[in-house]
Amino acid sequence: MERCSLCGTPLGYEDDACSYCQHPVIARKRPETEPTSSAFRPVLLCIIIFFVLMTSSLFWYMTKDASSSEVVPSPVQTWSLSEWSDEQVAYNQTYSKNKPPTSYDVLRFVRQYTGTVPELITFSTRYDSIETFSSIQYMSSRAFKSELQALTALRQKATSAAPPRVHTVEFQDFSSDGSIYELRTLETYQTTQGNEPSFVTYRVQYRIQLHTDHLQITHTTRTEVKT
Amino acid sequence: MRYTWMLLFCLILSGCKETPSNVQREMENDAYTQVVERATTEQDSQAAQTMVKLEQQFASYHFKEVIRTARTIEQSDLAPDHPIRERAQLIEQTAQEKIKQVRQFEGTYEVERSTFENEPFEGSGRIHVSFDSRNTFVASLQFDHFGTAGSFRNDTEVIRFEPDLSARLFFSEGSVTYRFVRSSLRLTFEGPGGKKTYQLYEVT
Repeated sequence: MERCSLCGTPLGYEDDACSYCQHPVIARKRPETEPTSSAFRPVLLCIIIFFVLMTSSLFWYMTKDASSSEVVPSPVQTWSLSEWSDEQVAYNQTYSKNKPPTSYDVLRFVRQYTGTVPELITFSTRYDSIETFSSIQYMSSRAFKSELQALTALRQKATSAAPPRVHTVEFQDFSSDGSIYELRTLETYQTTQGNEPSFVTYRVQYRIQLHTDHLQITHTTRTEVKT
Repeated sequence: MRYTWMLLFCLILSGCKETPSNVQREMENDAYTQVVERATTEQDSQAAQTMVKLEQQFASYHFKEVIRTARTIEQSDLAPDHPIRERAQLIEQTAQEKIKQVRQFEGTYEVERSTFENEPFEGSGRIHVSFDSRNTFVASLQFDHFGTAGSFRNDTEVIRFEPDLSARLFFSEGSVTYRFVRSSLRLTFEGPGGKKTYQLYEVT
């Protein structure tokens, strides 16, 4: 119990002055329990942290164990058509260090390039400019010129009445070190001779690079496969 | 003192979060060719190699081979939530769905309606459709008395369709479009003379 500091008369809890000497109550003593509680505070904090850590680690261990031991069948999903087909134009896709091309993006890029080959063989050095041919969007001008020379067989078999078209593209030996992609393909183009279909097959080696922010074919080696 | 405890607590919590390695990041980015180059474990390297093969087959539209390769990934020791396993499952499901769709379109189709610039004309005939067993979208179309009287077509055309099961072939003076929709096949000839359409329905 608190007492008046002047006369020692016991003070009531809410008294503003001493009931005996009228000495005003200036400051009250702090409750006796306080020093004890402040001494316990770090211990209490330790217990709470320990409890939180134990609970979270236990939860992590239990969920980790469950995910590795149980085979949870994932719901049946399919890849949307626009993501894997040639609906979206591959040369418009841009990439960065944080969003690099996926390995499938590179394959799709080459597959779409093969679709430009039938038009590429119509190029005439005398009358046409490279920029108007869609193939140039996929490759460097050096690779474009190399392709022009290598596609002689297809050019000879093509007729103006029925231009050649892509029949099959088979991908082989695809590798990359992160900046250069190398792959081989077996490409078959279909032409028409008379009314009969005729096929020209090439074994092609591609080197593709990320040029600033988009893919570009920088080198090709095209060899005709004679059956 | 209080701040020291809070700092210590935060440090302990940050230790719980695993920083993904380059290989993991590339795997999550579906850059499997890079994973093959950089994998540190035999399991990751093999899984990524098989994934590269699977994507090559998928990009080549060799869907039967896709299913075989995807199953070898599924039977491997990879964790159920491994990104390669999940991707293989997705590709397999897509390939299976496409094979099923292509098989549904195989059969004989008969001309039911033919129009020239939206005006009907006398067109007739049948087309027998079958798809290649390896190259899923390569179809063989056998024409049987197809066209108009006096110029019937009785040949076979091999056509590679696009994944949406349409194909457009160009000629010197126009093009012809083939499109499968439900149980029908539509042929549209476009040229300087106009637009001619044949609507064929599957013969049951």
